Amino acid sequence: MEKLLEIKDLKVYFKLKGGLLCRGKTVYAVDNISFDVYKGEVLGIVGESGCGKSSLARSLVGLNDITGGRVLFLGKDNLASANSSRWHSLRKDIQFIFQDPVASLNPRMTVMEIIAEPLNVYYRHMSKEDVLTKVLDMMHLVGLSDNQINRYPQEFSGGQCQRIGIARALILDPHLIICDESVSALDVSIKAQIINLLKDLQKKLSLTIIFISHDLSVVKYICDRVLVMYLGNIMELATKELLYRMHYHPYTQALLSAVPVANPQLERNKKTKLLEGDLPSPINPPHGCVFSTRCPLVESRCKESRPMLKPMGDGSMVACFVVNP
Amino acid sequence: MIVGKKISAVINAPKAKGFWQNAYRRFWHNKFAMASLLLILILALLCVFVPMFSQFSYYKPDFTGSLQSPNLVHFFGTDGLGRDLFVRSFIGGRITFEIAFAATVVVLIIGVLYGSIAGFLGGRIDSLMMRFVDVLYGVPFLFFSILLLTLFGQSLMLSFVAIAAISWLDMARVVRGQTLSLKHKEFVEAATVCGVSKWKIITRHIIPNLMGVVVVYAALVVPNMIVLSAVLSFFGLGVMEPMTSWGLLISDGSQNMDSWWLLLFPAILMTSTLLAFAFVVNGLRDALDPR
Repeated sequence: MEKLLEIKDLKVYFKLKGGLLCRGKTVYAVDNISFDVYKGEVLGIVGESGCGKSSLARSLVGLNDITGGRVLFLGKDNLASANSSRWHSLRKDIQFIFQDPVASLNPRMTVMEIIAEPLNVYYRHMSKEDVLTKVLDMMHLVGLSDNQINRYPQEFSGGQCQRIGIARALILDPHLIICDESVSALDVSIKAQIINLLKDLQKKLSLTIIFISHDLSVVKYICDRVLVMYLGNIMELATKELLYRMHYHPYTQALLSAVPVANPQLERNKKTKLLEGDLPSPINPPHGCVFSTRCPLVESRCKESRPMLKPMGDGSMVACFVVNP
Repeated sequence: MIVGKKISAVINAPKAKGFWQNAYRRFWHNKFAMASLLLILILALLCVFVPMFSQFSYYKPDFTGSLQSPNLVHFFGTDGLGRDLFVRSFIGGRITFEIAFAATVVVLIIGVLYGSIAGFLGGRIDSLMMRFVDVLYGVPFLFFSILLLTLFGQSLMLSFVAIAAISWLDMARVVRGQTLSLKHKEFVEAATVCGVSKWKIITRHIIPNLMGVVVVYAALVVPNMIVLSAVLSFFGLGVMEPMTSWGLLISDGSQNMDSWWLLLFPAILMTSTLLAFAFVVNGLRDALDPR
């Protein structure tokens, strides 16, 4: 399969402002992450809040600066060293769908103006009729009707706003769509609609999607491969089937055991592996394996050095010393 | 034609009541604000037409009829040089309104652009631009206008420049603060991701969303300008005889307390204008920022 995105040792650090006497600290939001994204796949990124999912996603569209590492887009463009004019042309191919559907739309613009805005930037000489036809086609594609075109975002429900957001992201025919918790803010029935819409669109337009969520059941439904993050590091990377069947890494096990089951009988007898303690601060991550402070299988070597991602033989990649194929 | 059909469909698509239409409707229902707006409009029209059509001129002295108390010929009476106070009040109002509105427009343009650019670009440019504003804040207003007048001689234009030059500072600060809070909204980030340039983001996304606050603030600036121009006239800077302004009329009247009408009528005109503006501002705030 062709690689769309090759991420090598990606680092996204944030400098905190220091005071008069103390030096500024650094937040290690994303620390040495490497993975590939293949054309046409849906890659899920899961992890608890504060683990660096959003920082990772935002760095891929230039909303956060990349501190170090290499991100190759289609094998040649390095996002980490792109200047602003390079970014300008790259943005056409990488689009972003935001978490809060209402906040991501300008309240003073009509649906038409919102969806057409990327076209006005990249195809300045497109005739008004062509823009209109494209906008209308896109609105049909995401399930909005013609007569909503002159309305303002505050007249729509959250789900419809997210449809507008999706239409805006798709109108430039991008190669890669990054959904940052795009369905988390919607209620359950609307969530299902939007996820199905994304799934349909992904098939129809053969899109590549990086889907970020903390909702494991959503990820299970839509994704082909899943990447589990913890404190800025990858814990496990596997196909969906393998991850939900095998879940090698102790963190993945804990994460999956916490998913509620709809059957109360099963839920009562289920053994939830509760993790002790809190997520350590990304300002001062543990020296060895970042999970070592909470890991039930922790050994002395885990505290000394950081495990690399290693193949488990069946296609899964796991960053753990203790777990073996 | 499919395209033609679609276009007509869109033209016929129901236009939503936009933000401004809703604001307009709310303002319309606010009785005090509407009455005040009407009063301001009537005063403005009087300022335009009374000096035009009156049989008296505002500058020709008539020594035979000085200091008449209000009567049917001279509604507001006459001043020490026998000039009709009715005409003089409204020609003074004309000058006052002119200075106030022109200064407000200048303040609006400079303040909004300066504030939104500083707030949006942020970082070192922001600090630099705002420190410059701080420096200008340090310059005392009266000292500054006296300096201008001694350097360039006395003119109406100059008093206007002096007023505008110190008044955009507040506007710039207000706008910058709002911009800072808008800058991290998701729709601004969405525009960045869509490749919209910084300048376009400021003009298309930031400024339209600032308008609610800016309109209210601008309406607050107008009465401020009236007071400032009155202060300048009161000190004998700016507007010069035989031309007059409300500030100048009040200043003259206060030195001539025996002829009460000289102080009373200009003072009533000015205070009622200021009060009306206060109500309009209140109405605008309710209309633009419904909670």
